[in-house]
Amino acid sequence: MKKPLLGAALMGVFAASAHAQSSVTLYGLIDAGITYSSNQSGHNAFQQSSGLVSNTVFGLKGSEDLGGGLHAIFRLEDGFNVNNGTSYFKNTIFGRQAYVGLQSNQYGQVTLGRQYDSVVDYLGPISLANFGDGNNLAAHPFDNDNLDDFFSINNAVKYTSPTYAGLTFGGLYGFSNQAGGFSNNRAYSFGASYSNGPLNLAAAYMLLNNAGGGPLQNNLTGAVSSADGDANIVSARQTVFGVGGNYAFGPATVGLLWTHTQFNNATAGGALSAFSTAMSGNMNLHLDNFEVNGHYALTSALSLNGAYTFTEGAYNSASGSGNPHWHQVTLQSDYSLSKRTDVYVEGVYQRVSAPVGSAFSGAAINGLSPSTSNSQVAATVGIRHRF
Amino acid sequence: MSAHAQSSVTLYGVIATGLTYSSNQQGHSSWQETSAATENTVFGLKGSEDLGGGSHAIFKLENGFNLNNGSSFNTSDAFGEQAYIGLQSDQFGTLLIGRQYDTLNDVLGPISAAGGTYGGNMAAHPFTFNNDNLAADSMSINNAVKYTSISYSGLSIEGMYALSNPGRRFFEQPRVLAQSHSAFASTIIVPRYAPPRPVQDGHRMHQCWGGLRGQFAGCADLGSQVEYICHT
Repeated sequence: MKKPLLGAALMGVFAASAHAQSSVTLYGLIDAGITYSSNQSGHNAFQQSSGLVSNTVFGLKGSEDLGGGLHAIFRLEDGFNVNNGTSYFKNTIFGRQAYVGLQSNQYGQVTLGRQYDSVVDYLGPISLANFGDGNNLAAHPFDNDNLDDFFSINNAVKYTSPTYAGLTFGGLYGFSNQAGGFSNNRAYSFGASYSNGPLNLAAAYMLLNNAGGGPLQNNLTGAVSSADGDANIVSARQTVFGVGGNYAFGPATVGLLWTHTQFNNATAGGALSAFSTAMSGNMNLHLDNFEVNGHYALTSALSLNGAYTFTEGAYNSASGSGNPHWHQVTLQSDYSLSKRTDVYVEGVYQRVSAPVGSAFSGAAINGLSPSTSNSQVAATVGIRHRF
Repeated sequence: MSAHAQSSVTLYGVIATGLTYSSNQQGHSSWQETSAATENTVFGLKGSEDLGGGSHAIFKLENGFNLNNGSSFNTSDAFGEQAYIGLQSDQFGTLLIGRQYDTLNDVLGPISAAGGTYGGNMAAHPFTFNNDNLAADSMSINNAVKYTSISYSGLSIEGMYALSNPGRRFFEQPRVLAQSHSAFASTIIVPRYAPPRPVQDGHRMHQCWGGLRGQFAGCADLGSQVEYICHT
């Protein structure tokens, strides 16, 4: 008689513990600081900044144990500006990420919703722009390869494999959600990463058709939407691919990364209206970004981080063609007050080579207005807290 | 472990609602259901992490909303009431950065019925615009750095400075970057520091300033001049 009672008691214990595991977690990250810039539209400026190093977000996430190594998972995450309380993505409630799906220890994970593309997922961790160390200011010029996750993909279904001997791969398809226009403002992307001890390698590819509705401005709110500000550069076709890797030598990590971005028939709005000049028609533009970065832990609390990026571009449009190129140096020091709170100081210098009056002749560190000269400096001091 | 447990996030809120009779609003008496007539109706997240040595990392994210229709009190805001992060020291005081109440509200508000919890927002000083900003539902200040001292025998001092944040930071603003992307047909070039001028943009007129402040696609920088590219 005792055995069934014991069994029932154990079942009760297990049910309670499974229930506790599946509760929702409230989390977030707040990053605020003061930023000096040497030249924005001809003037220097002191500004209060939000999310210059890590994105300022809050979110809800959860995992429910379905048994047999299977979980139901979800994440709802919003980006906002701590300095004025506004939502980062217009007209959204969870604009950074919002997805639900199933995760199997054996077969991998399938999620549906608004999600990051594979360039962000696989190459992002190799780049200073997405390493948690440099982020927005350290992005490649106008975040042309989206390594700094400027936009997320709507209507996306994503597969992520389990890790096989260090190898993980996955892909994403973002539906246009337009009747009669299946590929009009859709996205697809895939990537892989390999991790073995101190070595990390990654490669990824992404293609956007008519992001933001494309030059014809048809289906503005598909995979990459104009309504929430995601479609920073509107073009008929955007292709991004790249490879990278890093290696840890004790307290030091050194990384190398190359990405290639191609815009076909890009229109003059969005980022290009601010960053280019003398552009009176649509343009074809391609950019190659070469980044070398390093991370050095002086102590368990104090670290030094830096990157040098060389970007080589070529464009042609009705108003002319050119071959601009950019040099950008980012240096950062970060001091941890605890595991969840740190303070940082960061400086970025960018210099662009392009004929005066031509497209891209003003230096433009990501997130700042373009300089009126060919160089721009930004320096920031800030605090970051995770909860 | 206990410090870690103490520092977890707290979800909190205040809901205030009621029925309000008014004698004359634009010539008519009225009965209305009101939200936040006394205290602000808000929900928020706050936390305090013990960093040791009498110092804490603190934050608050708070949004105001209307209980009666569910809308956000400040349109397009995620945390429009208050949003800040900072460090608090038992020895040196508190330094906060973010969107915050002003010093009048902090210091004089608790002495006023308008800012206290007993009279509330309807007890604000005239006019309807709450002229001294003492009421609890008064404006908040963006881009603010605020210092509050510890209490010295009951005396504490507070000061605040809010930056104007000149320039355009597209990743911080609500991103309204999508404009018209149709073919561009006309180009207008004006001196950089020209006074505001109307510019025809298709069927609409825009006020345009020197600098990159055009209200439509295609404002470009030409050094000493600014080019406005308009579509038709």
